[in-house]
Amino acid sequence: MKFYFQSGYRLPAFILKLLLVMKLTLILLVTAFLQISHAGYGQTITYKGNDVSMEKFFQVIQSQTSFKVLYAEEMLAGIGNTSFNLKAAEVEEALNVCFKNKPLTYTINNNVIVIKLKPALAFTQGSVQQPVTITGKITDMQNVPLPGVNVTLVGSAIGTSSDTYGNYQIRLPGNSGRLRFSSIGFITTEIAATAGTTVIDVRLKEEPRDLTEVIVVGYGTQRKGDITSSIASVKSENFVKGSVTDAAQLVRGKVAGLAVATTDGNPTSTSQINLRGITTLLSGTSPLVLIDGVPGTLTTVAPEDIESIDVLKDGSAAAIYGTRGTNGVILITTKKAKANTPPGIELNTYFTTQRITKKLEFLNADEYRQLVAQNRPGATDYGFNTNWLDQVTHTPFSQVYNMSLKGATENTNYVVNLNYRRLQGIMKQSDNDVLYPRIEVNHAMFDGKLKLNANISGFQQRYYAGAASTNTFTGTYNPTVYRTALIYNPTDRPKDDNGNYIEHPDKTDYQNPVSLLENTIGLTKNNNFRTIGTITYLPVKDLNIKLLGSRDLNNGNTGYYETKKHYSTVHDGRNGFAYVSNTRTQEDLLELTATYNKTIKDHQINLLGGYSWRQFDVQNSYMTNFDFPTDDFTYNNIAAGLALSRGQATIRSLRTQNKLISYFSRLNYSYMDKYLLSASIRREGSTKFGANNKYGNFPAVSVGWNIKNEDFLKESNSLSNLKLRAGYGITGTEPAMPYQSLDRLNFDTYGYFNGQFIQVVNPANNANPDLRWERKSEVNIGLDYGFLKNRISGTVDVYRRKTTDLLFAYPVAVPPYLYNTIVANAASMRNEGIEVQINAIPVTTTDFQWNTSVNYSTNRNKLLTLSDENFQLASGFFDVGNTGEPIQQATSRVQIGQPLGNFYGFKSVDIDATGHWIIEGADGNPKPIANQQASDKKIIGNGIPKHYLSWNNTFTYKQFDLNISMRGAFGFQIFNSPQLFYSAPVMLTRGNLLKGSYDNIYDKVPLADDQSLQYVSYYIQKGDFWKIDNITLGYNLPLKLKAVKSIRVYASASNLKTFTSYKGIDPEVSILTSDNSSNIMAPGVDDKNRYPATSTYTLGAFFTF
Amino acid sequence: MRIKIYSLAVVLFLATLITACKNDLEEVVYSDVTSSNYNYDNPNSAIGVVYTNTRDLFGHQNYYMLQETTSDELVMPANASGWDDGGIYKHMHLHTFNSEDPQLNNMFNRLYAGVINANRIIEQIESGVIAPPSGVSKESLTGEIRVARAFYYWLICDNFGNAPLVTNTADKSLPSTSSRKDIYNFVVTEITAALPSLSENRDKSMYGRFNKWAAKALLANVYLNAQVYSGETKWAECLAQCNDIIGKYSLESNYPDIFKAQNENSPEIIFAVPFDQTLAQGFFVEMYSWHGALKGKKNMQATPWGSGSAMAVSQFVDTYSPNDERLGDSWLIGPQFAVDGSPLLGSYDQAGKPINFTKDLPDGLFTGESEGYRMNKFEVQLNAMQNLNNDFPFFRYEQVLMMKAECLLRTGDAGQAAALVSEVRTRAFKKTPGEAPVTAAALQQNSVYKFGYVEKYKIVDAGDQSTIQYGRFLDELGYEFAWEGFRRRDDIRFGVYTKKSWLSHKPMGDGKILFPIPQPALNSNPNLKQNPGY
Repeated sequence: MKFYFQSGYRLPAFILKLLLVMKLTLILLVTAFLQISHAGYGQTITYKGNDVSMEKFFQVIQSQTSFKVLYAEEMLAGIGNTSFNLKAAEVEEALNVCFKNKPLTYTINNNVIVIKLKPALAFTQGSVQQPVTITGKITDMQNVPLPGVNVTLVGSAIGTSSDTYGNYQIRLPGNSGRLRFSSIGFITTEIAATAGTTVIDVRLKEEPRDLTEVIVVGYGTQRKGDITSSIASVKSENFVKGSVTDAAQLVRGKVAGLAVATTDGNPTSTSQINLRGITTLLSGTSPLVLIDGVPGTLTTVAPEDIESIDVLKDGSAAAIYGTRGTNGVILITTKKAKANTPPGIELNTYFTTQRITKKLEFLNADEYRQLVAQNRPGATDYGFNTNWLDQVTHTPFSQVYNMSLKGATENTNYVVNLNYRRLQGIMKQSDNDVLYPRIEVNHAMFDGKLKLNANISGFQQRYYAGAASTNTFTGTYNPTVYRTALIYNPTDRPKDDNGNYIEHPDKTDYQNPVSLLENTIGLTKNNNFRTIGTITYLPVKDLNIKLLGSRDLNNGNTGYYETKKHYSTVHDGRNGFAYVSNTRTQEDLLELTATYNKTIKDHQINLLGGYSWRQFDVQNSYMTNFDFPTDDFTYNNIAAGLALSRGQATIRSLRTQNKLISYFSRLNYSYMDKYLLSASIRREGSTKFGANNKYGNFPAVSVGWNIKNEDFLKESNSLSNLKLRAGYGITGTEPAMPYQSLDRLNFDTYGYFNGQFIQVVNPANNANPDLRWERKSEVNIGLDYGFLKNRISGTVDVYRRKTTDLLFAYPVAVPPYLYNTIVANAASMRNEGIEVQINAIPVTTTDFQWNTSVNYSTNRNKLLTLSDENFQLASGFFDVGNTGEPIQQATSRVQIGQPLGNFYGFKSVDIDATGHWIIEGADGNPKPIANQQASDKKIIGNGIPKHYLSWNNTFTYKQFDLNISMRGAFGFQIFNSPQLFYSAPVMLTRGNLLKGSYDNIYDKVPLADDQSLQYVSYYIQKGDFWKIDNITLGYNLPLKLKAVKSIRVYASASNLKTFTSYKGIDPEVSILTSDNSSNIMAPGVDDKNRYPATSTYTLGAFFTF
Repeated sequence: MRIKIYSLAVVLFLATLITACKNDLEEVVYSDVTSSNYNYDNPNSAIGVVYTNTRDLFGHQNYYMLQETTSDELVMPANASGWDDGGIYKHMHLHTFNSEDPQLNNMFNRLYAGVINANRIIEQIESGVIAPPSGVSKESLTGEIRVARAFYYWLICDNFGNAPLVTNTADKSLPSTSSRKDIYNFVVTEITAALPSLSENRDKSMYGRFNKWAAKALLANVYLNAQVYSGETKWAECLAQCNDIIGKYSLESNYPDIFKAQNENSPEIIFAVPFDQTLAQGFFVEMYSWHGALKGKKNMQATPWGSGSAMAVSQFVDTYSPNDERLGDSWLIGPQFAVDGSPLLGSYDQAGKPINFTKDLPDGLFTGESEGYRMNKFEVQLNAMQNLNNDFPFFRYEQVLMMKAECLLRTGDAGQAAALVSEVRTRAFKKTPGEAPVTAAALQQNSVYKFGYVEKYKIVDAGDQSTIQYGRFLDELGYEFAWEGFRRRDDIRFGVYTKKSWLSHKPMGDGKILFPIPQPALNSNPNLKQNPGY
């Protein structure tokens, strides 16, 4: 069933559904909400026609007046054509003429004409049978009541619609008949009412998505059919079900080209996301995330409070955002109140528990003792049996509650959402407690000419701080706990007979993990407060002026204390160490946009102009102190320590500020819904650049051709959609940190003059006054298709993106530079790829439906250049990543002509009789590792997956539904660093080893006890995997309650099973660099300290009141 | 009409709004200072960084241990507590250094940071940005910084040989390699040119800085090794510089006092690198030489790393006379006790047993936790933190006397040389003064060092046994200057470095006299040439 404004504005399904039953006065609000222009009255119609279809008649009205006509296609079935001859007729007159003898009626408000079926009056004439009244309840497949569903008796004009609770009542002239249930966004269903039936309950299936879907685009919305660039939209009903911790996990595997990796089970971790390969170096891979139009992060709102997520993938779509659009743009829309609904409450709650998916198998005490018996260097038997991992892990139990209250009257609607999550991690003490409140109110006044929106949200978060960190919003779990639990001697024990913790401070990097956990007291508290206000003013016809102001305020506070039993006292004599930090960030945004819409016959024009001002301000301070008189103060009385007075404590504070100013405009043009054009430009300035390079221009243009709308395809039944798109756009990137162009000084060094130490002036950085915008240009060609009434649909996109003037902290020569890196623009890089999405409904019957979708993407990356006139990285490469202590080598090389993510090291080919590596030398001949030279290193793998594939399935059978999500990544290698570090006999001096550490290498001999750790290709392993990511089984309780509209219960399992040949614990490793700090060019490292990946099991229920 | 008025009002309001926003894009700094808005009103503060750069040279992965562990004096073997670090310390002992060993890059970057800061400061003094303090001429202040720059270039010349020679900050083009001889000539020219303008003060105002005498000590050291750098000997020139200094400083009567924690008033120190446990960190030799259990020896706040590593090559210790008090003053020997007198215990191969530092090493690659004599030269105070307070005596009066003795010895005046060495030895043989004097003939004899390749505590391959000219004099340098960062240079000058075997070390060829240019430097500057043989 299609239902739309003929002017071409297809409305969101939920709004249209309501339109059917809502009082007409509300239309004002709705049309205003959709930014449709108003017009005066009194236009007339002149037209003469015979046997004109109703559709044609409506088109005539719209082309000659500014009235819009709103109707359901199904209503016109069987209505027949009409003939008329109108001369300067008023609209009402014209309608009256044409509806004569038709079962149609209409209402007009402002300039919207809503067509309705005539009420079933006087249709009982000639009936011999007794009339019967049929009642029932109409719900969707999740048992949520559907208001406003049309119920008609087939073959008659008798009809009604369901009320707010989905109940309907229809009076049939005879005792039987065939009822038709239709509603926007649902498949029209007919059910026969046989004699004697008085109750018919119906569950309507959702219709496959089609062109009427409304997509959120930059600064507005667009019908899917009008879109000319690559945009993916995921609505809440298609989100990943079960336990999710951030917005990205909701759409994992749902969007071709968007890789979402969850590399560990830490409850404070957020997903890593990467769209269309690594396009920029310095700013990470994170796309710009906007929540209701205001920048934020993936955790700014609770996942359960999200209505839809739209991903602007290509440059032509993202260019309207200029800066930061390079990695794509993720537009998050929070849940909104549906117009004119009485207050309703939804409650979503679930509980989860987790287990470590796969453990690293270390030697147990008995196996370790065999090494002691063999007199292996470093092996010591303390005489006990301890499973250290068990000591620091537990079975977590997490709870999530989401309650939302929504309501709407004619001019005002509101949403109150409260989300509370109490998450526990598998590592003891790792937790995350967040409360997300949000209140949004919309109000329209002055006949809808002025609209106000207020949106107040934020979060209050607290979690265990197991590590002192100079940044808040980080530093939660201390990786040392996990690492030392792995490597701690299994014959040792946590405490001696007197209850004192046992430490071995003379061993390197070796701390009692139980003591570390129990003697570290820490708490991080983050508070976020977002206030967003919007004023929309519609001064004249077709013009919409919108002013948006927002402030995003974060306050973070960490307190951290190491007791007198902590390693820091045993090892460093700290005698109690405290740390306190405070961070405040404030991001202010002011945006003014004006939109102008005009339809002239077959031409539709939409113009956007705007101005944006953003300022980001950071203040933080932290201090340390130690040597406390008692542990009782913990971190709450930092002045009580003595180290401060001895000049040994640290106190720091900083403040930075930066600003972005931009002007932008866009034109959307559509001719006959066939030929589409979009062109935009953004001029953006950033404080972070050199004086002459502040501003950059970011233009975009894209075109579309709705081939299906051409006459030769219009009648095709098998083809339901075919659109060709092509776009080109430029986006920009600014440096992550401000002040890189300035020659800054620091004073943290002391020189000895005249018998005392004084502060000396020390340059802080290599300044780069020529710093300028990084630019990414992208060509995207796409095809949208749909067959068999969109039972099969999807998209294919091909893109090529080129980034130039890549910003990065490039290594530079010392001399002439003082420091060996400088933030500069030098490299250029290319990414090209293909994305394919196929959605299908292979089976659909009354009771059973199977929806399936497959996403595939592939990306190829190549570094084109590494130098420009300012920076001569003439060697053509630089090395990045770090193996970590005690080997200190780069893991990866960035090299011209090569993709990013190349592992670079010695290629191990053999092992000699004494257990020492044999590598392939520069000349291709084997040589002992002891004779290594830098020139012997080779490319030994690549850590970035070349192919991503995901497959999502939804099965519904009566009240049951089953979701199965699977996904995989292919064509990449992983640096198995746990194996390198923990299976080398030389590391026995540092602690326990993995089982199999003395197994033969290359089927010859084990590694020698004195073979130094070496970063060789033996540890670079194939990473391909296929994961059963999520299985969720849901059941909708059949209810006949007044108070509770619906209840759905579900059970879910995440990260259930992985098929891989990778030998480490989880092949889903970081797609960023392992230490997450410096850069993104060393992906694919299985960090030996990484918080273990977990499988999650969830039980949940969803109530609607 | 009303609509028009409203619209006008709205447009005006919005226009005001936009203009009210601060639309300029100048960066505003809050917790930073930029060079353009900083006033260099304190000259000491302005030039200080040239000296503070030297502190970073003293870590275990930098200049200091490169001078010691490549020589026949010290070794940093692995042990049960670790200390392998990918084999980077082994590379030094075995002379298998490669361009990726991080110590080399650390040293390279530190030395050039000194050079580049000096270049900038010289330019700032000349342009008037930095004004000299009252009573000091511009020429004198410039001269001091030029000598400091020459000091860094001397170390570059000594360690890397062929390297970039950069003397200004404006030119950001990539420098190419200058020859070792060119850098040597630059060093000599610069110091010579600056000498007349330098301060002759020897009080605390010039402590830790290049006054005329420190500059002369530097120049003497450069001349002393001139043959290695340029192929020409400069004994007479070296002697002249030494003679100028003699009489200006004096010897400490008590040898350990030179190296004590508060040694800044020592009359023997000519040029020091000042350290402080909190304000001027960077000297922590106990952390990498001492066993972790020795925390208890001084009730230290820090725990030395693992079982410690930097230790004496046993063959080196064997050269000492048992009566030489410098043996015990330089090396930590035998059983170790806590402050309260209880024995300190081992954790690995000596787990639970008292630690007893023994001289003999099985080889230079992997040792037991209490094998090898450790550092005892620099005083570790009670309650010491990781970083020590001891200033490092880079040039001291004794060293000037020994340079003079060497010049005399090499120019045929062995008698006077012997007199000088005997004078020095007096301080070391207070209990057995009869052993102090050495004869001219003795100094011209071969070294008493038992060179040879060691396996399982025994020399299994003596290797090159040819006579070392003035070998006995080299031995004297060893006794006096152990742990002072001179041994590599002395071994090279006396021909030991690339000819002899000791512990697990075997000669690896003359190419090893120069370290390779670090790989990151080569990678970032293709104009540089790697040293021959790497």
